Formats: sequence, C-alpha cells, structure tokens
Amino acid sequence: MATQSIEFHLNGRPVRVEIEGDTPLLWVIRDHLGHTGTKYSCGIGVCGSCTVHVAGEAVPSCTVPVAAIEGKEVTTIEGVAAQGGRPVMEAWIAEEVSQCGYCQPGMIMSAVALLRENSNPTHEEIERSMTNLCRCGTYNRVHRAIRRAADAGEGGTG
Amino acid sequence: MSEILNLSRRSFLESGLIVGGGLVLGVSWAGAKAKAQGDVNLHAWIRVASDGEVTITIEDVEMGQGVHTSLPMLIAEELDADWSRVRVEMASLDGPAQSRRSTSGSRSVREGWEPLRHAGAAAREMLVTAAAKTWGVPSESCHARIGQVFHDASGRSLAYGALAERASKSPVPDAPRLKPASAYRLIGKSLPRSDTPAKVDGTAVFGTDVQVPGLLSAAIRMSPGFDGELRRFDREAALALTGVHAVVEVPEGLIVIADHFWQAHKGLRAAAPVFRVSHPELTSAGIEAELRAGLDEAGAVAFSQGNCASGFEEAETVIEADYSVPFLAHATMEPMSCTAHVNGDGCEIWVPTQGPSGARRAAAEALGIPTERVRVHTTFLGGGFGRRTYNDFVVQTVLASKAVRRPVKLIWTREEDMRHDRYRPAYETRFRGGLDENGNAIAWSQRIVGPPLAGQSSPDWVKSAAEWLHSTAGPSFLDESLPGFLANKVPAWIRTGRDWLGVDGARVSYAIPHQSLEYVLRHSGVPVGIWRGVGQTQNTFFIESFIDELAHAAVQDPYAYRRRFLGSEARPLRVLNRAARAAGWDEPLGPGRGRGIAFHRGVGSFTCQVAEVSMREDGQFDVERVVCVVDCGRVVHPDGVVSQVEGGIAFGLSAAIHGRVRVEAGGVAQSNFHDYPLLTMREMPRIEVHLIESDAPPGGVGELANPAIAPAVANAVFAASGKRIRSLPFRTPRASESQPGREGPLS
Repeated sequence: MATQSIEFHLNGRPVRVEIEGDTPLLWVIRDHLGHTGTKYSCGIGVCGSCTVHVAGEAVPSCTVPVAAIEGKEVTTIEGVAAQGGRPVMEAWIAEEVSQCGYCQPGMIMSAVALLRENSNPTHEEIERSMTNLCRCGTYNRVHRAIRRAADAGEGGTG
Repeated sequence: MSEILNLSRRSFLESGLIVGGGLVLGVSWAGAKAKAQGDVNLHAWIRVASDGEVTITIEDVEMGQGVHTSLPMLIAEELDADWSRVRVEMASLDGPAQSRRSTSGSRSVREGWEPLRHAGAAAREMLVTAAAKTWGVPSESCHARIGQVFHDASGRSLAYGALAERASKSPVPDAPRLKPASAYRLIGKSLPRSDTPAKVDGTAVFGTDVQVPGLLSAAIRMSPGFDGELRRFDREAALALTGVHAVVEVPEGLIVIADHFWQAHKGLRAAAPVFRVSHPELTSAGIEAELRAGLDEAGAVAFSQGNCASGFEEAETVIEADYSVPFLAHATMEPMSCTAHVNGDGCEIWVPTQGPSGARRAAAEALGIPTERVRVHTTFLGGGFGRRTYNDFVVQTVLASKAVRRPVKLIWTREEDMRHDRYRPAYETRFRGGLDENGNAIAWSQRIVGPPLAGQSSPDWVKSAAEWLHSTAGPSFLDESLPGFLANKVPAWIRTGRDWLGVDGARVSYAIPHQSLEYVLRHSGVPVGIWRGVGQTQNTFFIESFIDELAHAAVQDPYAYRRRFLGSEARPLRVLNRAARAAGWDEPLGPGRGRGIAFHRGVGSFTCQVAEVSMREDGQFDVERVVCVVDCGRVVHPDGVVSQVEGGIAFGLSAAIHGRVRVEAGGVAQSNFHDYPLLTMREMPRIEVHLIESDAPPGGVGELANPAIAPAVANAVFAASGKRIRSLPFRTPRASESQPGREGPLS
C-alpha cells in the first residue's frame, strides 16, 4: 500500500503524517507522533486501553484506520486536561484509582466522554458506559472517581 | 539479617546514583553477604543530598502494588525525613551487582520491614551525630524531626542537607535504634502514591512506551502450538514492505523489525510463517482425562497426621467429592514487551519485569557475554501477576537487537500474549471427609493431581519462594528437600514426583485429627507458571468448598462449623468472627439469595470473605457484595492494602467466573479478550474491606485476597440454590466460544 499524506488535529495542534492509510490511529499517535499515553492492549477494540476522543467522542484508536480521521480533531490523555478533563483527572488522583496504571488513560478518556454527554450519570449509566477492562480490579474506584467528578461539576467547576 | 553499607565515598555505584555528594547508604538483606565494592548485593539505597533532597532507590518493581510508596515510607519514617522532599527511583542494574531478587510472593513489605527501617534509622543517627559534632554537644542531647536535627537546650537546628556531607564521613552505626510504633508519623498513613500522577496524566513509562534514539520496532509470530517449530516463511515479501529492516529467526518464532510497529506487524503477515505443531493431538479434553485418571492413584505423601485409615473407619458418615480447576492466563493489560540495544560488547535493556536481575542474566546468557555488560532499566509494569518473572520476551528482544545492532522494541500482540503464556496449571483433586456421629470432622484426605509447577518456574523465584514457604507454613516435606534444593541440586521432590507449589496452601487450618495430603504428578504438555497466589488459588477453592460440604452434611452453620475447627489460634478466629459480624451473617436474605464464607491464610496474613449472591432466572448469578476482613499484621499503607484487596478479589472473581484456557490442536484455542473474557465493571461486586489493627510484623497482601473469593462465592451459590459448584469457572462457555476464535486484525 502506498503512503499518503493525512492531516488532522492532535490535542489542538495540526499534524500531518505520510503514512499507509490502513495504519490504526493508535500506532500513528504512539509511533509517529510520540504520544505514548494511549496504550495498546487488545488491538480489536474490546478493552478500551487505547481510547481517544475523535471529534469529542470516545473511540478505540486501535481499530480506526488513520485515513478515516483526515481533518478531524483527536484528543489523547496528553491533551484532555485542556479539553475539560481536569476534574476527572483530579478525581482519579483523589480516589487513588490506579494500580498498574496501564488501562487508566483509556479509562479516563472514557469517563471524560461519559460526563460530557451526561453530567450526572446514575450507577447503571456508569456501568453501561464504562466497558473498559482493568485487570487490577480498580472498577469500584473508577466508579467513585466518576461520581466525584460529576459532583464537582455540579458544584459549578466543570 | 540485613547489612547497611556507607557508599558515600564510592565513585561508581551500580544503582546509577553517582551524581553529587551527600550521604549515601545501601541496604542488603535476604541472606546477602555484602563485601567489598564489586561484590555487593544491595536492594535499596538512600541518598541525602546537600540540598536536603532525599532520594530512595528501590530494587523492587512497581506493578500497581504500591511498593514505590510503602517501601520508601519505611525508610523515611525512621530517617525522620520530610516526605515532601523524598524522591523515589527505580534502581537500574549495572556494573558488578549480582542481586537475585524478584518482586513476587507478596514479599516486598514483609522483607523490607526490618532492613529498610534500620537503614533509615542508621542514616538518621549519622545525621544526628554530625549535628552534635558540629555543635560540640553530646549526640543524646540532639534529636531529629522532619528533615532537621535540633538541639533543644540551645535552640539550634540544622537541616539534613547541611549535615549530609559530614554525616557521610562517620561509620554506619551497628544497632540503630528504631522508633516505638507510637511515634510513627508516616507508617499507618495512606500517603499519596508516588506513581499516581504519572499514571493519570499518561506520562508513566511502561515497557511499550520506551523511546530511545534510533529505536526500531519489532513484532513476533510464534508457533500456534506449544514447542512448535518454524518451517518456512517468505523473507523477501516482508523485506519488500515499507519500513521493514530485517527478518530474524528466534527459537520460538519469527521477528520482523521495522521503523514502526505497524510496519513490522504487516511484515509478519507478508512473511506468512508456517509452523510445525509438536503435539497436535493435545486437547483440553485429553489433558483433563489424564489428570482425572491420576485421582485413582496413590500419590506422594505431602503431609499426614493421625491415621486417616482408622479415622475413616471410625467415621459415621464419609463424604467424597472431586473438584477441578482449569489452566489460566495472566492476561496482563500490557502485553509482553522489551527494548534492547546490543551495542559494542554490551547490552542495555529497558523492560517491565518482576525480576530485573533474572532478565539481566537471561540476556547475558543469550548473548554469551558477562552479566556485568548488561544494564537493565526497569519501567513500570502494566501488570505482572507472576508472568513477568519469566524472560522469554527479553531473550527474543536482545536477539533481535543483536541482528541489527540497533535498539529494538519488541511488543507482543495480544494474540501472542494469550497463546504463549506460562499458565496457572489445571488441577484435579479428590476429597474424603469423615464425620463422627455428632457431625465433627475427624478425618480429612485430599489428593491433588497436576503438572509440576516448581520445575518450570525461574530458579530465582523458586528459591526465594522456597525459603519463604519454609519460614512460614510450608508442607512438611519441604524440610527434607529444601537444603539440597538451595544447594542447587536437582530437588528431591521433582525426582520423587512431589511438587510443593501444587500443594501450596493445602494444609488445612482446621483441627481435624486424622489428615492426609497426597500429590500425584501428571505432565500436561502445557507450559505452566506462577500466577498471583500460586497453589493457593486452587487449594483454597478446594478446601473452603469442601469444609462447607462437611458443614452442610453435618447440618451445621458453615460459619459456626469453621469457628469450631479453627482451634485456638487468635488471628484466624478474629478474622472469621469479624467477617461474619460485618456481613450480618445471621440476618436473613430474600429468596434466591445466599451468603457464603471462606477463610484463607497465606503470604503471612489472614483473610475471611463473605460473599452475597443473587440467583437469576437463567441459573446464572450476580455477586453483589463481598465483605473482606484482613489481618496482615501492621499496616504500612492502609489504602494501599485496601486497593490490593479489592484488586485481588476482582482478579480471583475474574478467574472464577470466566477463566479457562482451552487447549486445542496442541496450543491455546483463545486469542484475545473476546474469547478469554475478563471481569467487567458490571460484574464487580460492592466490596467492603476491614483491616484488623495489629502490631504483628507485616504480612503479605498482594496475593492474599484472590484465593478466597471463588469458594466464598461458590458457597453462597450453594446457600442460595442448593447447587454445589465443584469445577471452575462458574460460567459455562458460550456456544460462540467453542468455535475457533474470532481473529483480530493483529492475528
């Protein structure tokens, strides 16, 4: 496959890569653009470790060919604080959610997207929305951190 | 016994701590004999710099268990350091250091407790002495507090930074005085974890994230079967692709090296390697039948007490039951990964490993160079659970880098990771229990059939685990086999068919007069390895389920029955009683709901869990609530313990509900998380953790909680439905899972 020139925005900045268009966005972000906060784990869009925002929506970047995001806005864990993600990250620290930490950037990206759509999700809505896998078993703390971030948002900071 | 060395005058240190002056101490333990420079075996370093910053360098690795916070706390407590000026570093291995330490067996805090506090106290006393000398006053009239030394009589004080240089010139005190627990400022507090911020903002560097100048990326394809052989591949097709640099054969398969990972991966697809599978006839069904056949054989006696034969003759009622567990994968979220640069006559490695020293030796051996030519930098680990005590992926990476003489980062795909694990062995077990006319358990026999685990684990790990088992509650035959084993002889228990990892945790805590424990060795053809909790993961399920069966056969309450037979040991009884109380054991539950209890001792600690389940109409069930009481001795970092316990329960529950590695055509049938599912957030129960206050020395925590959850849930299911679960996992495979696995784009 021939390389092509693909342009998109990464964390608010325009980027251009010369690349084979079938390359998954995940590997473009990590290998070509050097942002390693987005993780590879399953490669089939099941575990959520590679979650990024494309046009504000959470997507598994391991299954999105980079050609499909031409001209779009991509946000990763490195840029999400500036995109309204700070309360979630602060809640994550306050609840000491992380253990090994590998799935956590993806978890945080999913949580930010959830709260953007639904600023006050119920227990069930959180469970339904957060399908990211965590092998260390941090789920209850993820839940608490989302709750904490939602409550902080209700206080008018979000 | 620990040893503390003053390293302040060293021009060169294996830990990489060479910059600047100040006071530098090194700590060694676990039987290590520290000698002259070039022959030291250190596990932690303290540096008090002239600017007052305290750097604590730790050889134990951080994989989520929090030891990069809890271990530094032990030093900082006795050092009376200002925690806000403490920096934590992962040690690199370099130069002549020959440590054999691995981070495994829930040993970090247990083993670090005495030596790290002594090292902190030694540094503090040296700083106090330096201050006393500066002021010309007796040391006894000075005291340290939060990074400063004070002389109250004159109202003078000096910061540690100003004293470090002078302190570095005095000898290390032989017997530094430790604080009384009542004076602790840090131990017992849930301080913010040192690794949290980087794990939240994405800057934490895991193995897959390593970046060094000139780095190439590599992907590997291994045989779909165990011990397969690469037969043919198309080298030219791979090399024709954009970015591909080299195609390298390694013992387990084929590696393609390219500028970027995706190019390497496409190169592998183009190379289309074909393997010969060594044992295509090997299947789960065949292995299970073979293990089951072992149940009818007499095994090696691992433990006996009283006279089981006469015990069963005396018994009014005899209950028999067979139990089984399957092979399990570690399935760390971060797949195996390593970066290596073979360069000149040496090699540099960046790797998420539980045993940096083992990785170092494996690399040196693969390259045929002396160990001291290999430098190892350990990254954060995206999960370990025992998998990262093995070095297969390290050897592959150094061979790949050797072929191109450039730095190479190898990342296994999830598919390779799933199919080339070292699996928790499958086991079958047979119980007989004898009850007298009052329902008292008077005879108990267990026969365990399974593949040998110890023989397939890394020698360092086995050795340290053997020492620990020996010093805690190991089976009696360990006593006779250990000395020879520690002398690096072929262990007697391998020759005689004993495998103490298989019977690990199978000594019951219950006071039953006649007992027998047998082990029948059966090879499976499946590579096996240590998996969080090791032998306790199956034996606690077996034992705590069967004691429940005896209680029900005796028509007695399962909690009261356990209490009766736990004897007079205070700590087990305390966790049992506290768990029953916290769970509201006697409060009735609605129909279709049930509670189950399980007790477990392991890694030097005690736990009791009560699970609540509710049955669904389809016969499946939900685990709604788990009450977990933990006695792990003195708690260094309470929230860290709670975190490990929550995580352990999730890990054990994931295995209990879903975990089953299926063997087909001589290899693992599954390939990814769609056909080897992990616990999800929806399946996660509410967990209430209660820590017992104790001044006993710390016990282990990382592997404490996961063994007990499966029996607690199985016993709850029995209480709710009358259905006894004797085989894991709970959930039978969906129809789709018995089909060949859906292949991901990386297959």
